Formats: sequence, structure tokens, C-alpha cells
Amino acid sequence: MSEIILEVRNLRTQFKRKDGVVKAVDGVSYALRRGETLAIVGESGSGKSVSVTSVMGLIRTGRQATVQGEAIFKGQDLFKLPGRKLMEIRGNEISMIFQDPMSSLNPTMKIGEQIIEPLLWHRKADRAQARQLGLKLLEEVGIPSPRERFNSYPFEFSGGMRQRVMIAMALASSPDLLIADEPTTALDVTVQAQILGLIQKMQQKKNMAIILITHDLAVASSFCSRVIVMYAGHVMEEGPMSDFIRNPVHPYAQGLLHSTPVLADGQKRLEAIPGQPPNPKNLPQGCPFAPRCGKCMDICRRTAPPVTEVSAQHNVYCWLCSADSRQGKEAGHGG
Amino acid sequence: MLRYIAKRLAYIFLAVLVISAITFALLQLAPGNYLETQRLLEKTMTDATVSAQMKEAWEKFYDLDKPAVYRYGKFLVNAVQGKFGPSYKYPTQNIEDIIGRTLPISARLALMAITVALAVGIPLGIVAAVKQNRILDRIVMLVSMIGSSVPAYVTAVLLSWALGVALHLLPVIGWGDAVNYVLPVISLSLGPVGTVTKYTRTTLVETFHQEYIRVARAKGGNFFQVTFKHALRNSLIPLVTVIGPMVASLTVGTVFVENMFAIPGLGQYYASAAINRDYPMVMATTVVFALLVMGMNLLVDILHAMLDPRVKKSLTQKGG
Repeated sequence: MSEIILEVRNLRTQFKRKDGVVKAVDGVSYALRRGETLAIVGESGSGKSVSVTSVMGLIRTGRQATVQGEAIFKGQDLFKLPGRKLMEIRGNEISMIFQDPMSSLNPTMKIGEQIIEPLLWHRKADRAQARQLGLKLLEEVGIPSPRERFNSYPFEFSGGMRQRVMIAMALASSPDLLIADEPTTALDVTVQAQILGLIQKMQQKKNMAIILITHDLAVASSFCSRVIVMYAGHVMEEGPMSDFIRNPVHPYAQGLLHSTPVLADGQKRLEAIPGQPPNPKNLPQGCPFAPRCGKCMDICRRTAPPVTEVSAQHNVYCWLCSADSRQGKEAGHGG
Repeated sequence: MLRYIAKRLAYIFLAVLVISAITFALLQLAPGNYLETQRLLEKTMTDATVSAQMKEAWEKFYDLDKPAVYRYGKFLVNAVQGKFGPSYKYPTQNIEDIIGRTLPISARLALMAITVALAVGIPLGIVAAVKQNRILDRIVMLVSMIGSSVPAYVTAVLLSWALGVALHLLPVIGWGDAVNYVLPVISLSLGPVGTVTKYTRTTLVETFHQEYIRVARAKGGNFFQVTFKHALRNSLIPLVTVIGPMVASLTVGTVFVENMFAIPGLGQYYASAAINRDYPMVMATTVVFALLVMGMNLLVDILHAMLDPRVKKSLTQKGG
């Protein structure tokens, strides 16, 4: 197996608000190997985006926000690096595709200029070389007549074209790790497939590791080899994608899969998970999913579930499959 | 772009025409006339000193014996050629000569004030935005608020007392040397400095929250690359739009400040012309100020187009 490129351990990101502390990410751990594609799925507000922007060091920490834990990238903890070192890694060895192509490009700057910026900032090429590379990238991401388009402004591009530009920008410096935060959410389905195909093609070429953040399980399952299911800042289940699709274990993961439409299913009504995600300022004690869980037990409301390996590298955070659950139950009754 | 500018110039011409017509009409309706105000205010040209014959000759000289429409028509024909004729108060000088002599002084004052406002206000605004909600930000914002809320003539008095009378650092009155500019320019620019600072801070803070700023940071941009290459230009766009109105208020500000420091600028003539019912002077200065303000606004719009490619495109498309 190839080397581990990123290992996140016990990541906690909290925002202090006037009316309480928002625990956006609350103890998330995962590892990613070179060439691997990891999906982080979950509904809106589950902490998917915050978990990766924290790793990138894009959360302004201080009085209002704290990021704790470790993010070991190629052997060094990103959270312990001085700012200058982190800047050298950002946009160079790790780059990111953002969610909204409409607001992620600088409106007063030429497209080409924005694409080659990482190359210039990281001194990977001089202006002439960078321009050549930028033109090549524009062509690779499927923008017609790149020579003219190089000097266009974002407002002259459609959403799909802008997202292609974002991809070209993220790939400009040939990163080892690409973080794609819902890269296709803002696009229509046909463009979605094109964009994902494009990222995949680039991945094979450059043997990148990819973290794909999405709430679309269909996209995730066709694209990724591993999956992490997040809920209210916690990991619920993680494992190989094929294993997960066939055999989701966590009640939340099951609910998520059942609420995904499948064409072959025909008439069957989609199942919704009852209730609302918990208020991140006031997470329930124990398992965050307990209030909405149909299989909730006493212990789920009291104590956070431990991790259980249900099959090879398939981990679930649920009392249902924990060997300790009976014990815990008895202890609960006793107390 | 050129076609757009040509179009705007045509609009300016039309607007000045309308302004001059309205001003002229209002002046006809205004109570009192030059002779009366002289008699009342200056105690000159009373019945004792001015004979009926002289008065008649005076009225003939200024075409006051002819209908108002004739006078307006004559004004237009002359004004287009840049001629305004003699004023009531200065019958021996042509108004265009007075303007030619005094306008450069006022314009230089206003221009210097604007330059100072931008050169001081933008950096201060950047500092405040970068140090948002810290002590430095609070101090800068407090000072700029005071600066923008105290009128120029009050600061003029305070400054000339402090720096001129008390400390003897600068001359309070007089004209001709570079030092004479210091106090007037400071008094004039203090308000605009405050406005520019506040505006720069607000728009820059807003820009810092934009997604593309986060993208720039994710690309590995350092503080300077992110702030100056990505944020500043975008936050200057809304700033440009307030410079127009600021120029207009500066022109009014110069009237007070010129009076205060006895500067031989156009402001003095402008202010006294209205009080004295010196109609030719009122007409001429109104037209000149209207042209100035509209010209500045055109300049601001061109600047806006240069900063914002979207505006530039819409202008070139609309304008051909």
C-alpha cells in the first residue's frame, strides 16, 4: 500500500459565539494514502467543509475560533507549522477547489492571471512558463480557445466554465493532495459528470490524493474508494466505499442511503430521516444522532459510542454494534 | 469608451444649459436687485450719489432695459464662447478674467485636499480593516469620525489658532508661498480624510469576507498578496463612487476656507455674488461649478470603469 499522505487525528474546531460555543468539528480522525480518493459525506452543517478548511489553516483562529488536534501532512503537523511554512504548502502541495464557482474567483482579475498565481507565488515558474502552463491547463479542463479566454474576466464565464477554471487553478501547481469541497454542487448534472471525470483524469495522471466533500452519495460512490460519514461534527461511520454501500451499519448511514433515490426502485417512496440535525451550540450528550435514531437505547443518550471495526477497515461509532453495549446498558440500569 | 465619453459630454452640455436656465429664472424671481443691496448693505449708490441718469446708463450698460429673454440669449451666446462680460460689482473687469485668475487657486486647493484625503485615508482605512476590532482600529475610526463630523470652517479656526497664533508655526493669513497652503489644505482635507478612511475600512472588511479572498489564501498568498493584489482593488471600486459627491462638498468647503484664510480664490466671489445680487457673476460661477462637479463625476466614472472590468464592458457595449 502506498504511503499515508495525510493523517488527521482528533480534529476539533470550535467557534465562540455570543450565545455559546459551536462545536463544528468534534473529534474527527482519518488517514489518506497517496492516490486514494476519500469521500466525506453528510448533510449541510455536519462539519464537512469546516473539517477540511481547518486542515488547510483557513480558519482564522484566535478569540473567536479554535482548531485543535493534529493534521500530519507528509510527516509534519500542519497545525504546528509557522505561518510562512504553511503558506508554502497551501496552493502548492495541497490545493483546494471551492464550492461556489460564482464567488470564488476575483471579479476584477483576469482568469489566466488567477490560474497561474500559485505558480508565481510558489516560484515554480517564471511568468512566461507559467503562462504556457496556464494555457495548457485551460485546454485540459476543456475551455475552448484558451488563448483568448486567458485574458477574460470571471463575469464573462458561465458557472460550469468558472468551476473548470477553479479546477485548473487548483491543479496548476500539481498538488499531492487535492481537496474538493462540493465541486459540482452548483452545477447541473451533465456538467457535474464532466467535471468529476476531469478531476479523475487529472488524479490518474498525477497520482494525487483527493478528499471529495459532498452530500451526494451517488457522486461519492461512483468516484471514491473510501468514505467518511459525518453528522454534527462527528464521524459516524468510515470504511471502503464498496463495503459501505453494500452494508451500511450505522442507523444514520442507513437512513442517508435510504433517502438517496435509485432509478431502479420505481415507485417506492424515499425514506426521510425524521427530525432535524441538533443545534451545534447544544449537542446532545452521548451520540449526537440519538434523538433522531429509531434504534436509540438508553446508553446512546448518555455516553458517546466507542469505535467498532465491523469488517476490515470499516469502523462504526454506534452502541448497536459495540461489544460493550450490553455491559454499558447494565451499568446504565445499575446507575 | 470614447463614444461613451462623447455621450456624457453631450449630457453635461445639456445639463449645464438647464442649470443656467433655472438659475437665470430664479434670479429674475429673487427679491431685490444689485442697486438696492448696494444701498442697503454697502451704503453706496444711494439716491444721493446716483442720479436717475446714471442709473439709466447703468441699466443700459447691462441690458437691464431689455427683456430678460434677451439677456439670457445674450448670456448663452457669450458663454459658449467663454465670455461672461463685466459683473455688476467689478464693472471694469470681465468675469472670465476673474475666473481665469481665481479658479486655478481654488482648484489647486481642492485637488490638494483630495490628494491628501486619498493618500492619508486609504492607508488608514487599510490599517483599520486589517486590525479590525482591535485597539488601533478603534482609535483610527474614532479620529476619522471626529474628522468627518467637524465642518471645515471649525477646523480652520482651531488649526489657525493652534498652529498659527499659539505656536507660531504657520502663517494664518497671506498668500503666495507654499506654507500658505498648509493650513487651508489641512482644514479642507480633514473631513474627506475621515470619509475615505471609514469607507476604505468598511469596503475592505467586506471584501475580506469574500470567498475569493479565502481562495487567494488557499493558493498560498501571503498577507500582502492577498490584501493588495486581491482585496484592495475590489474595495476601491465602491470608494470611487463616493469621491464624486466628496468633490462637490469640497467646492462648498473652499468658500468658507478661502474666506477664513483670505485666499484669492473663486469661492469668495461665488459667495459674495449671491448676497450682492451680482447676477452676471452668479450665472458665471454657477456654470463653472456645475461644469466642475459634472466633469469630476465623469472622471470618477471613467476611473470606475478602469477599476472594474464589468463596468468597462457594459460601457463599451452600450457606448459602441
